[in-house]
Amino acid sequence: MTEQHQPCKLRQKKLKMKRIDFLKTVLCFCIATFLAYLLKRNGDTTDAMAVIFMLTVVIVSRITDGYIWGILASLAGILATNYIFTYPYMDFNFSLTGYSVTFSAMLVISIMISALTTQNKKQTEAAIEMAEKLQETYEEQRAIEIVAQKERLKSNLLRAISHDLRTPLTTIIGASATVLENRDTMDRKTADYLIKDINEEAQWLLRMVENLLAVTHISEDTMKVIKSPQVGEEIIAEAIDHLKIKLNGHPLTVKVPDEILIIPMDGTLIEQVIINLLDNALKHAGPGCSIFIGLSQENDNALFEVSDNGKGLSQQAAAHLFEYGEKSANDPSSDATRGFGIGLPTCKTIIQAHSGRIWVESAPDQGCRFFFTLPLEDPEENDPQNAPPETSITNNAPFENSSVKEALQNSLHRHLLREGGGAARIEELLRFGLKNRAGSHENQHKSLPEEHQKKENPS
Amino acid sequence: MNNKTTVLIVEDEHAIRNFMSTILTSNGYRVIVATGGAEAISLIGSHCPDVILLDLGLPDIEGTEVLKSVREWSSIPVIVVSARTFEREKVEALDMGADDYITKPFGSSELLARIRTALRHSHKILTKDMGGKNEFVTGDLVIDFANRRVKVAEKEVHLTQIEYKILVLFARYVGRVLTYDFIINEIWGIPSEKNSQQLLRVNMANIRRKIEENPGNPKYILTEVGVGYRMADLEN
Repeated sequence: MTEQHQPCKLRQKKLKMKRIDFLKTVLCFCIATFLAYLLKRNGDTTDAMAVIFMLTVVIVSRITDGYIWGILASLAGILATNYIFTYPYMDFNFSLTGYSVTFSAMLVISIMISALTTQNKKQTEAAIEMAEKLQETYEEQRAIEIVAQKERLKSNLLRAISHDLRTPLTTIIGASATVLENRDTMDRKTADYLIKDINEEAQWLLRMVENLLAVTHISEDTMKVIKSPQVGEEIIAEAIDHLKIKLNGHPLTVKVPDEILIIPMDGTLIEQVIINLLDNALKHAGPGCSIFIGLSQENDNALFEVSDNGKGLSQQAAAHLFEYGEKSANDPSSDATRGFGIGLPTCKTIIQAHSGRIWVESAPDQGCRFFFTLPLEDPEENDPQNAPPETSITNNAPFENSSVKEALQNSLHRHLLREGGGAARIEELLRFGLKNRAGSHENQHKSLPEEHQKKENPS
Repeated sequence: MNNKTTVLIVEDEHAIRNFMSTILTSNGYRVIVATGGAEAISLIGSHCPDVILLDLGLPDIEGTEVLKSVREWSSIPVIVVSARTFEREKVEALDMGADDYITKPFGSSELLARIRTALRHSHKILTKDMGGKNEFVTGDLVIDFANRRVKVAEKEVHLTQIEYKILVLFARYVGRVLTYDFIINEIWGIPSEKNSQQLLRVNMANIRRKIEENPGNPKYILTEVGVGYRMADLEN
């Protein structure tokens, strides 16, 4: 729709611009004539008048669009000088000695100045337009990149899941078929053993599904969750209640602050995080180890801790703990690491969606201490810190509108210095504060993308 | 044979129906099953079961519609069976008159415990049990109604008026989930707003600090995140 209207609008705009330019030219010319008249009255020579009219030409070229007004102004200036200010007054006389040379030179200089000023202005405009276009393209690229990163995350997750699903399903299908087919020949103890395996694997699958469900709570667009005030200890208590059968035989210590701590969060998701950490501790710390769960306030954050005194982790293992599928993809004996599954990466996703932090402190034989923080104040939705690190591109600053121009001007200036020649001379000639804006049209096109590339790859 | 407690299972998934009726039959209940809402309503009318296990996701009509129609004429205990992560659905069902809910998937012991609680509660209503009793006991927690005293492991606990009222409310509905709205309405007599929920939570945190050995791992009052609270039934 807008495209249909555009040509019409554009024409109207152009017409209006022309009218304004005409008025500007007339006004400038009148002022110049008046000044010249004053000078003439004070007995000045025609040299000063030539300068005044040349100045007018420069000003007109500068403030109007296109060559035409500057040239008109110069012609008018020459005619006016001849008509009004030289003998015979109020009449044209081109036959005076030397006048034809003076006036022709003046005409040529005026036209040149006009042409150069206009060209220069056009180039600056084109450069700004280019910069804006480039910024648009850049933003588009960023959007595409974010989508690609999301896709990558999704496919990593899917790979992790499909790998992790197959193993328990193998057990369930195999064990249940065995029991069904060999019921008559099998002794009771073996059957019980197989059924127990089925039950355990099914429980494992359930936790997996719950984790996946949890991730779907996170908004895909903003990677954020909807928070509501929750009492920290209630979330911990429910998570413990969820795993109480598995906790049998493990000494459990829970420490919550004396003051009630109300934390903005998605309660089910944080419960899931604690369940995952607790489950992880129970699985990897070894039988009979003791578990500690703590909650405290650290400045503006709530600090949760889930620790065990089990066999701990090597630094290498700790580094990849929170990555989807990283470990199983790189490790040839990936079946052995199935236990890590998607639980811990899901914790990280959830905590990040809450603008919190999660980390582990561990050493072999010294147990594991998992920590995570949740901000007590609901932060701004667009807090840059909240954005997942993959999506934040740190070097986008130079492309904000005002600084685009600045960067561009710097580039043009550098270009000018390199090229020297004509452009530098114009600058010298004009001395009108246009220092940074010269340079040939073609070269700008070339130099701009270069500049962008430099900005994008600071190395 | 006729003295057996009758349980109606309303569930469209045959595998779930199968294992539920196996558990219940082997624990001495008489089981009738319905695979849809319309069938359930007609079976409730003709058989008058003692407990109804109602799945909310039915193929023909919404489970909540069945609940509504039952509540129009009967107070038969209804235990809603729901999928996890739908807190709103649970709260809605409880506020519409469901007695309890159980989350899929569940174990046999959990299912049996919920049924026992629901049955006990319905008997209490029939015999107006609470009025006659002077004392309430669960685990080491004792509420002495006549003297308005609360003791934990023989030690007296000092509660404020509101805290005492909340605790008595939980005792009256022991074993059952009480939604935030229900508690707020019973204690303060005002509809629930954000502020009143916060007020309730602060009160609950204070009660926990007074009656629980470890408020981070409570024994008596359990939290159902996003739904409400439940007092644990520790009588046996």
